[in-house]
Amino acid sequence: MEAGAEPRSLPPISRTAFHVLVAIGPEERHGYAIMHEVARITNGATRLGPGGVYTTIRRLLDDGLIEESDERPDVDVDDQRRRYYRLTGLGRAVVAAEAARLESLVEAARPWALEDFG
Amino acid sequence: MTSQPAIGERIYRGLLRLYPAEFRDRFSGEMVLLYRDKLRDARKGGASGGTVSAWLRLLGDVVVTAPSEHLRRNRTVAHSLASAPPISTRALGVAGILTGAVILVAFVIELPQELFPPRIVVMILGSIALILAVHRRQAAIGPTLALIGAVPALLANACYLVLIVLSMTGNGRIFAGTYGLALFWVAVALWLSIAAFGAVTILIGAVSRFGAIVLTLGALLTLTGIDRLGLVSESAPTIFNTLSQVGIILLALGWILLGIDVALRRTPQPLSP
Repeated sequence: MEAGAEPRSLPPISRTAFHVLVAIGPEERHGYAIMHEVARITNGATRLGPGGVYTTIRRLLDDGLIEESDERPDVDVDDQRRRYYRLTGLGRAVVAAEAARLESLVEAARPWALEDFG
Repeated sequence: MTSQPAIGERIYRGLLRLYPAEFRDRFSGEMVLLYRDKLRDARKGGASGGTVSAWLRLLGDVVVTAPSEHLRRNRTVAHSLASAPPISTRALGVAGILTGAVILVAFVIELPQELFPPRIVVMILGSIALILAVHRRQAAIGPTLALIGAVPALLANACYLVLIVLSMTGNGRIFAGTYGLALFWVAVALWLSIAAFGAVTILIGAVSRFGAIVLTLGALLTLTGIDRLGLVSESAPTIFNTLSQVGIILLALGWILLGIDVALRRTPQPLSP
């Protein structure tokens, strides 16, 4: 599968995997930052522990949706053992495809399910 | 006061042993850092309840994710990004499942004497098929070790098959006559080599470690009843017979579990991001 594949042709991914991909976003983030960002973007609804974060990271690495950055934090700023992760081209395409899917679902629900919520 | 975090961290490091070794090697260092960050955040909250709550969450996290990592070790987040096993591998896996089923059925139902040799032939052919299928998976990870595990098991199975076929052409009593004692010693080699194959499978992974553990245990226990027909000694201890019966059931379950895993498990496809 190529990074430039038509977004809608890409396969759906699990909710946790999508949260982690969105949490990483355009940045390079380590596990702790990803954990905080997932809690923030889900308004605290999803709180991942170390196991949840790293089992998801492992699968995303295996699928080629994220990659490890070569950058290491400055020894004065952070622990050098911390590894940073960033999206690959394929990862970005999968996020775009998933976002488009969710958007079309929201569009379908909006006329009736969301009317009471403005 | 100062030793409390160290003890907690040691406990957490111990809990990380519940994850698969390969996962642990790769991520345990980072997970310990994350553990420290979480506990630091919890302590910042002030009340000791925060630390207790953080620990409960950590325990829940390990309890949920460690077994799932064992079960889903080789699956991928996006399943369609993983390749289904080729038809030939599926067929070999199904042969393994059938082998296990034949062993179980033959154990539960008292088969007529004339069906005993064909049952052994089916069992051996199925074993060979499954060893080839599992070896195919293992070879990608640990080629040398996989070879050490598979070759003796394949040779022992092949020898056993030849001897069974030869003895079938004789007086029909396969554990008697010219081939009886030879079959005994080849059977010893067979169960030992299958146990070794199972042990290598546990070490390398690539397929169900649980199935491999069951198979290894089954082969070793079956070996304890190898002389139940009194080929070497006149009287075999009865406990060995009971153990070997448990072994035969485990052996059958081991082949079935490995067969299911080989036939169904999807493997990650190499992707170019």
